[in-house]
Amino acid sequence: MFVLCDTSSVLMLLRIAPEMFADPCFECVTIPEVRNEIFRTQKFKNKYAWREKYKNKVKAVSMLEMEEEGYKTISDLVENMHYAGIVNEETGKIIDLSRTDRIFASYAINQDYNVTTADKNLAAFLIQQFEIKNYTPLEILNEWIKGKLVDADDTLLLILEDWIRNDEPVQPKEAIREFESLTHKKYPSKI
Amino acid sequence: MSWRGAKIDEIAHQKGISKTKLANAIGISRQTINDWINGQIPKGHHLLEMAKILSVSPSIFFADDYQEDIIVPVHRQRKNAKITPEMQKAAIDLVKEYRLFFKHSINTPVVPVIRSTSNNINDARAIAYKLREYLNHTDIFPLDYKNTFKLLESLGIYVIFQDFPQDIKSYAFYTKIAGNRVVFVNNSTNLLDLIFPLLHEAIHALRDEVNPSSDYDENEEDFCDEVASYIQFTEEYIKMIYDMIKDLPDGKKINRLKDYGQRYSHSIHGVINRIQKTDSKFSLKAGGADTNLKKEFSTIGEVINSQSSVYKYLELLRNLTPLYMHAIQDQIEGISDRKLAFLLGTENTIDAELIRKELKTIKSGD
Repeated sequence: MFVLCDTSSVLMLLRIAPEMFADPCFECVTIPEVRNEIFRTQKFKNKYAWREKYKNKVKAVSMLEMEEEGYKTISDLVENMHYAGIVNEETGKIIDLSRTDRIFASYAINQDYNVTTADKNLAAFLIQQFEIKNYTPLEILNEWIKGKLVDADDTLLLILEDWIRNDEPVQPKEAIREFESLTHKKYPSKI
Repeated sequence: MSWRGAKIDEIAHQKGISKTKLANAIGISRQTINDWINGQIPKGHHLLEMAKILSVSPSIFFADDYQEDIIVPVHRQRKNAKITPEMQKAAIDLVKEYRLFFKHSINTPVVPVIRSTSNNINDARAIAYKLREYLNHTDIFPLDYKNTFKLLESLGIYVIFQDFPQDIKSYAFYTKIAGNRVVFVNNSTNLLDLIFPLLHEAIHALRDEVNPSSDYDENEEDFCDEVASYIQFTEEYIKMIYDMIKDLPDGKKINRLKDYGQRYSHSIHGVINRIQKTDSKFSLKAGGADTNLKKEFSTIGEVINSQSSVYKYLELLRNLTPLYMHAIQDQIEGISDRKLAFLLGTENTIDAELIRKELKTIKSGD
């Protein structure tokens, strides 16, 4: 179950599994644009002061790998659909994506990857138009725990507390229940 | 891009595949195929499947009609830089990214303050004074950048701040996107260099209403320059400066001009150019002084990015470009975080999340 990871999810998962891109067991990939974004200087409050330490850990696919057979056709299709105007079935609004969003979507579609992104519009485009599944970071973490790729230790719980403190996207109730059932530990609640 | 449903019928017929057979192969009803032919855009995975069955590229079902939505007129560039195809392409590529956004904005009609298509110099003066009156800026002093933005807003012209790609060698350029008048401003433009090109582009936007044209027109460029000059500097202001400096030695002339440039945020050469229209013998080398004067002023990008909090950043943008910020607020639910970052000229999607939260707070408080 390879998962293409977007910026927000990488920032939530990277400290938990620094080898998430290097070790194929984690089945995580990302694109160069996401990698660049993660380490770009923030204009406002520096929410992720620890980022620099993990610069060598975030390995993106190469441009050559990205633009494999079929990519151009998919990329053109995504551009065409986007500009023709695709309505988000949940909100009734036209979905307006950036160039990087469209590259992200095209790569996921061409490779038949699932994704993990916090962006509701990008997720809606992929789910509604291409039946691609969007995993939340906690759902991915649960899979890692089941596969014994990470330990549910105190360090992990501290990072999850950080998720709450930093106002990261709220995780689904089912994923929280599964986490608690797998680890026999309480998922942190809002302070 | 627009969807061309009729192509399904045409291609299926060419390939000898009936609509029923096509529907069955995709796993949908024949009615759905009819809906697609009649204008409904298929879901992406169905479109891919259909293209595979018909052995065509999915792009064949879309018309590349961006020229209907986007007009990027060819205008004079700064310091008379050569207009190249690369420059035009770079401008069109930049503008295309705003196409969907403006397609779904409520069209703001440009206020018909001027209807003249004349290129007469007297008309330039009259138009300039009319626009200053319209802004309620009736004293003799130059327009500063904040009032310049207010003028564009009151005329129904959107203003967008962006980092221009290297190929676009201008301080600002006017474009029409889905019927909306938009002026793009280069973030790297010094405040001293900003006002004149903004006014120049605003005049293009207004004249475009009555005399639309994308082609380069030297006379039109000169006319827009004239109007912009008279909006920025009234005749009374130029006369006041001229009377003050005409009998001074050159060094003192420069110092006085510098004082006024600092006080009223304008370049020295702009004033010299105007003085020379009435006194052709007036000559003053002020290149070095102007360069030094500019160092005392920020670029518009620096002004915007100097705001350390999200709230102050958005407050500034809402003051400088209220029409555009209102349109963003209107459409924010459909805009992705990265797109929001792009629309606001920031580069960081993490910042965009914070901006979105603040915009939602502002919206609920309004």
